[in-house]
Amino acid sequence: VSIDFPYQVRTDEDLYLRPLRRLVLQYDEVEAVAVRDSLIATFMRAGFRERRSAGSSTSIVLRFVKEDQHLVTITITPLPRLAPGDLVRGTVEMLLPRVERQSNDPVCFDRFSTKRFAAWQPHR
Amino acid sequence: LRSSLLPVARPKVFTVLIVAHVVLKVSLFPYMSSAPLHGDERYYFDSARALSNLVRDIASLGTVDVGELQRNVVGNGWFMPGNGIVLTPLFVVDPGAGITTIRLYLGVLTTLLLLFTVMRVREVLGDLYAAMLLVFPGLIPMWLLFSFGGWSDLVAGLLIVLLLAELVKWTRALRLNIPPTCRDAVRMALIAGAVVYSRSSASLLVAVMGAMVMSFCVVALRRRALFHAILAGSLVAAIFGALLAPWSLFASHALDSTVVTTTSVPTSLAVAFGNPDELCYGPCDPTSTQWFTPVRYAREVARATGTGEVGVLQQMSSYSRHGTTPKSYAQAVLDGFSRYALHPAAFSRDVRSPDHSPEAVHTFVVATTNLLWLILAGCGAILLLTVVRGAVDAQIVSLLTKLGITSLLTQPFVHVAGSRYWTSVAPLCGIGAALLVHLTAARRPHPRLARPPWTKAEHRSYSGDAPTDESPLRRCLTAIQAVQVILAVVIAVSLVLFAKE
Repeated sequence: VSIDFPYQVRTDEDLYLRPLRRLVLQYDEVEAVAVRDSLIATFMRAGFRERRSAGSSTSIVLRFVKEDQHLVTITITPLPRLAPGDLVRGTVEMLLPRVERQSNDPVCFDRFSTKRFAAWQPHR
Repeated sequence: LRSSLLPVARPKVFTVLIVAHVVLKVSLFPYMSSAPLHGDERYYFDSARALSNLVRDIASLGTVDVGELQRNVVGNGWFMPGNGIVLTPLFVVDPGAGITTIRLYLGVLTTLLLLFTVMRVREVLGDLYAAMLLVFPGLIPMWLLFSFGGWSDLVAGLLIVLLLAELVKWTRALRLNIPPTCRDAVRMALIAGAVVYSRSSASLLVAVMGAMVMSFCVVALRRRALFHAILAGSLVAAIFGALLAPWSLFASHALDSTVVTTTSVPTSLAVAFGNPDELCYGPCDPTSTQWFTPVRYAREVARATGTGEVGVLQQMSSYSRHGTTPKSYAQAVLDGFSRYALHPAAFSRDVRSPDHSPEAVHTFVVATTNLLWLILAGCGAILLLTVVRGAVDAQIVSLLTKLGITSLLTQPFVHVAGSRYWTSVAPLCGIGAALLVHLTAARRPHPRLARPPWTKAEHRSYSGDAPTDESPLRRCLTAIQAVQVILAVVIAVSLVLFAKE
C-alpha cells in the first residue's frame, strides 16, 4: 500500500494492549473526502475489501479486510478551524496489523525518521 | 578657559575608567575563558568556521562548498551572519582555535569596539557621554562576561550607539542647512548594515531612526539642500540594500522561501504566545526543544507539499495562536519583559569555566550586575518618561535615544525574551543616563558636568540662509517627545490592565 496524497507521519507505535500498530499521519492540501476516496482506491488495489465504513460529524471511519482477517481501521479527521490557505488539512489514524522491522538501515533506528517515540518501545 | 573645562574632560578620568574596564575584564576572563560554547553560540561558531572555509576556498581558487554554507551559515535561518563574519578571521588564521583563544579574541575585539565607540561619542556628544559609556556598560561584570561570548546582542548594542552618534551629527549639519555628503551616506549605511547584520531584531530600530532623520530633513531643510539630503538618503538606502542583499538572497535560496533577515519570528510568536500542543497542528515531536521540532516538522510539510518551510512555519504559528486572548498575550509579554530585564546575570551560571570559576566571583558578578543594571535600567525608564525642552541638540539626543530604546523593547512583544537581550539596549541606556546627568547638571548656576550644548550659532551655515530661529523646531521636538512618553505610558498601563483583567 502506498499513499498518493501529500502527508507527513506524526507517530508510529505498536499498541500496548492490542496486537495492533497505530500509525498517525497528517494529510496536506486535500480535503477529507479526497483522502477517503484515495485510501479506498489504494486499499482496494492492494486486495482489501471495504467493510462497514462509517463516520460521524467530525470524522470518517473506514474499515478494510483481506482474506477475512487483516482488519485495518482508518479514521480521517479534518482539523478544526482551518484557514483557507493552510497546507495541513487533517489527521489520518490507521490501526494496522503489526509488522516486524524490515531493514537494519540506520534510518530505521532514527526516531525522527520512524516517528516511533513511544517510551516503552524505543526502537524496536 | 580653565573654568570651561570640565572635571571629566581631564584625560586622567578617561585613563582611570579605561584601566578600570580593562582590569575588571582581565580579572573576569578566567571565569569564562574555558567555558564550553553555550546555546546559540554554537551556531555563530559553526557559521564562522564555514565562512573561513569559504575564504580559504576562494583564496585557493577552489570550489565553494555551497552545501556547507547553507547548512552552517543559513541553517534554520534563525541568526544573522554578522557575528560569524566577526569570528571568521580567527578561524582563517587558526582553524582549530581552542575555546580560550576564541574567548580571548572576542574579548579583545569587543573592548576595541567599546573604545572606538567611546571615542566617537566623545567627539560628537562630549566627555560626559563617553565617560558614562565606559561605566555603563563598560564596568558591568555580566556585560564584560558577555563580551567574551559569541552572541551578537552586545556588539549590536555598541553599533547602535555608533549609529546614534552618526545621526546626531547628521541632524546638526541639517540644522545648518548642510546636506549630508556621499561619504556621510556611505558611513551611515555601513553602520546601519553592521547593526542589522549583527542582530536582526534591531532592523526596526534602524528603520525607525532612518525614517526620523528623513522626516527631519523635510522639516529642517530648504529646497536645494533638501534635494541633496534626499539624494543622500537614497544613497544610504541603496548601499544598505546592497549590503543586505547577498544574505537575503542566499538565505532565501537556501530555505526556498522569501527571507529578508531571519526566519525566527513566526516560531517565536508561537512559542511565546501560542498553544504548544497545537504548534505542529497537534503536539510536535518529543525529545527535542520547542525551537527545533517545529522547524523539523515544517521541513516535513514543505517536502510533502513542495513548498518553502518558512511559509509553513507562518501557518503553524497562526494556527497555534488561535486561542490567544488579549489577556494571555499581555501576560506573556510581561513575562517576556521580566525575562528581559529582571535577571541580567542569569547567564553567569552557564558561562563558567569548568575549573576557574569560584563561587565568590559568581556572587560578585550577580550582585554587582544587578545593582548597576538596576541603576542603568532606571535611567532608561526615567528617560522614557522625560520630555527635554531645552537645547535642540539635547532634544535630538533624547528623541533618538528614546526611539532606540523603545524599538529594542518591541522584542518581548514578538519574541521569547531572554536574559542576554539587555546587552543590546544597555549602551543606549548609558547614553540616556548621561543625558539625564547633563540635564540635572545644566540646571545648576555653574554647571560643571554639562558641556555647553552644541548650538547652531557657533557654526557657519551652508548657504547662509538657514533660519536662525529654531523655536518651531524646538516645539516640534517637544511635541514628538511628548507623544513618545504618552505612548510608552499607554502601552505599559494597558499591558498591565489587560494582564490583570
